[in-house]
Amino acid sequence: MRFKYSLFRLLRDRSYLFFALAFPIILSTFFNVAFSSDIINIFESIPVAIVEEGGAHPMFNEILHELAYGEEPLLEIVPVTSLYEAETLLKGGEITGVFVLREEIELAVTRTGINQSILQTISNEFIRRSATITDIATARPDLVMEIVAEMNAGIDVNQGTGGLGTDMIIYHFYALLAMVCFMGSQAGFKVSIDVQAGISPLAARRSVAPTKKMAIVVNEFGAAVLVHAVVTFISVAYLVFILGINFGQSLPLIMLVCLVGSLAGISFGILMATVLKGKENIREATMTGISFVFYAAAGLFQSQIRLTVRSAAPILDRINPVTLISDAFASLVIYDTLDRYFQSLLILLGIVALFLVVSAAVLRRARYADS
Amino acid sequence: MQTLKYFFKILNYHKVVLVIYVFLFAMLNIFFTEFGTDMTEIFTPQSLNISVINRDDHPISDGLEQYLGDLHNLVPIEDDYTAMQDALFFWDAVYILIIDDGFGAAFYNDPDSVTLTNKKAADAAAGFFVDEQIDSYLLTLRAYLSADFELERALTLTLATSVQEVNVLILETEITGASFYFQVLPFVLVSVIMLALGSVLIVYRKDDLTRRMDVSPTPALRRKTQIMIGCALCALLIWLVFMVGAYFLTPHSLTGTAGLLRILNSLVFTVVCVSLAFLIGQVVKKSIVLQALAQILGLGMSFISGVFMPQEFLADSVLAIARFTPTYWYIRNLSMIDAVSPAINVDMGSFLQNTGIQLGFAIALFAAALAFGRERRAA
Repeated sequence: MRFKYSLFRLLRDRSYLFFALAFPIILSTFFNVAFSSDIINIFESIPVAIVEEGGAHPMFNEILHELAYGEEPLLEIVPVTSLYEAETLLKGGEITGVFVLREEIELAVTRTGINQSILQTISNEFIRRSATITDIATARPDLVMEIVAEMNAGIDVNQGTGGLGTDMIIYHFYALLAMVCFMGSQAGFKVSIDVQAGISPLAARRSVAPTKKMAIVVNEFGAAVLVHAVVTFISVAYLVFILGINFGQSLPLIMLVCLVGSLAGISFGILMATVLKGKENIREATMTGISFVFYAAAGLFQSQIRLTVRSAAPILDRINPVTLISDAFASLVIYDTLDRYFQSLLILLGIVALFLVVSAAVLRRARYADS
Repeated sequence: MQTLKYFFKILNYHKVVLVIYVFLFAMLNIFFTEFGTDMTEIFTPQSLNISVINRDDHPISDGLEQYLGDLHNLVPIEDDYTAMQDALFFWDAVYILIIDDGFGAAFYNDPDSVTLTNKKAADAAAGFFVDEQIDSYLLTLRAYLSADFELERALTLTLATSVQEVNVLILETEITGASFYFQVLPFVLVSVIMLALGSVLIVYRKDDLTRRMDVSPTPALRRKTQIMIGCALCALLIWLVFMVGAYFLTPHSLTGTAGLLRILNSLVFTVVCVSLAFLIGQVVKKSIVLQALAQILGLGMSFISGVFMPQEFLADSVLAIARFTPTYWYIRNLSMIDAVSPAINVDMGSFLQNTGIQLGFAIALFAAALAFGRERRAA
């Protein structure tokens, strides 16, 4: 019976439910809009200037002009009369690069970046091809035209294989789900606070009731896990049915991660509310802060951060619960066996057990003789 | 000024929470600055950890491996499916090229009849450039072979031409002191100011306290203004902490006109955060809701406005929405400051315009907070 009341109590907390659901739904909708078009929105014309010195490289000049022509041109050529003028425009940020056609081709830019890399690739490709064609023209002038045509046709030998992380976008949704799972810490936090008679009036009332404290905690914990898991399931359902994200065949496995992840979040919340000292909001602030560190170290904001953590402290990376949750998701994309998936979940369950044992040890000893 | 005095009393009561938030988010910002990467770097060709599984024993295959070795750092991994999956899963290698047995001979006979396979790590946008490099190499090699060059000579020439590069002059880069610190600052400021001020403002939402204040002779507007001033002073202090952090972490980003503009830009953004926190303080009654809102707004605005990923990579539709967030205008200003070299002045017109829009947000949010408070009391 007590379980029922614990459940009711959680369900009546509308604001908790609303925000636990609003968070994934709002953010995933943002993501979906962000990624529904091409992830990289680079196909806008890159403004450049060309400075010719003595009519060198007419061929390259022509190619550049061809690239600035057509419906969706890659380049936009800004006319300039001198190198000085071009450099002024470049420094002012009005153009991305200046091609200086001297004896050798030079490219001037002000910083590194994706558009700059495209300009670099264009010019590198040109000088490489012209070197090749010059070589061939010397040895077999009769074949030059044929080979130029062959080169222009491109080559299609190297092919990416599916299955191994070809879809980058889905990772952002996995990261989001990992975060939603771990946000169960808020619910866990409340479970623990509400049995500590030194902090909460409800707990004070409960502590004089004849019910064992552990029985209360177990019921509250069960209800929190149930509610939070349902919240994450609804988030998954929103992703699948409303946004149309394709998780493939692995939907039940994803839901299992959600369940274990919620368990991890909730037990983390219980641990924080139990072992930290001080007023409730101090404990809560510390918990939020530590959660953010977990998120950041798991690479949820930027994957590079996780890479650094991994090379600096591999152990920390292996025991970060948020990393384990997102790893469990990612393993479903990368591996065709479930070894790594279950390994991540088992470590996660081990951490959950550790959190709960420590919390129980601290909670059961608490006496409120002085409060 | 009684309200202001009591605001500080409440603030004092919450000082530990405040310090914890500021400390943790400052740590987080250090984390970002030290370990994070400006995403533009990732989309540039650079030396990567890649693996080549060469199952072939042919000069063409070996040549390709050698060529990739010249450009990248080759990580040896076992020729085993699980080992490859592990390498990608743990990001030991971001790109794995598999050259099957017999590739070289087959390519020699008919270059268009063979295939290579590759596996890329999930987040390796840079893998795109490795693809380009491999294509370029094979294209050149095919050209030499089609022109009836001896295999050995074709390979030597291919390797020689494939590493040719144009001379790239980078004019006065880095001098402006672009730093990831200021890039992620809006995320940190929104979160920390909202959480810190929010936990103080929630106190005012207790019914008894509201009623007690309502019967006092101090007009509501004056009371609110004083609380707002208190919030602003507190936020100013938080902002100062982060500026001191910037001084120690990225001193070069604070020098010159660019530095001054970065400081000004972040100060204006702080004002917006105060208004936002003030509005949230009028709406929110429970700490748990505050936590959730801080995360939704902090992360949501950052993701769509180009805090974690540059605006140039975001789709136009996203940026269209992002325009309705102050973060977008902060980042607009910042990228303008970062892009300009010291020889040329920042376009002050655009800077002031972006700054004005941020201030507009601050005023609108503050007005909304005042209106919301009235509405609530009337109800």
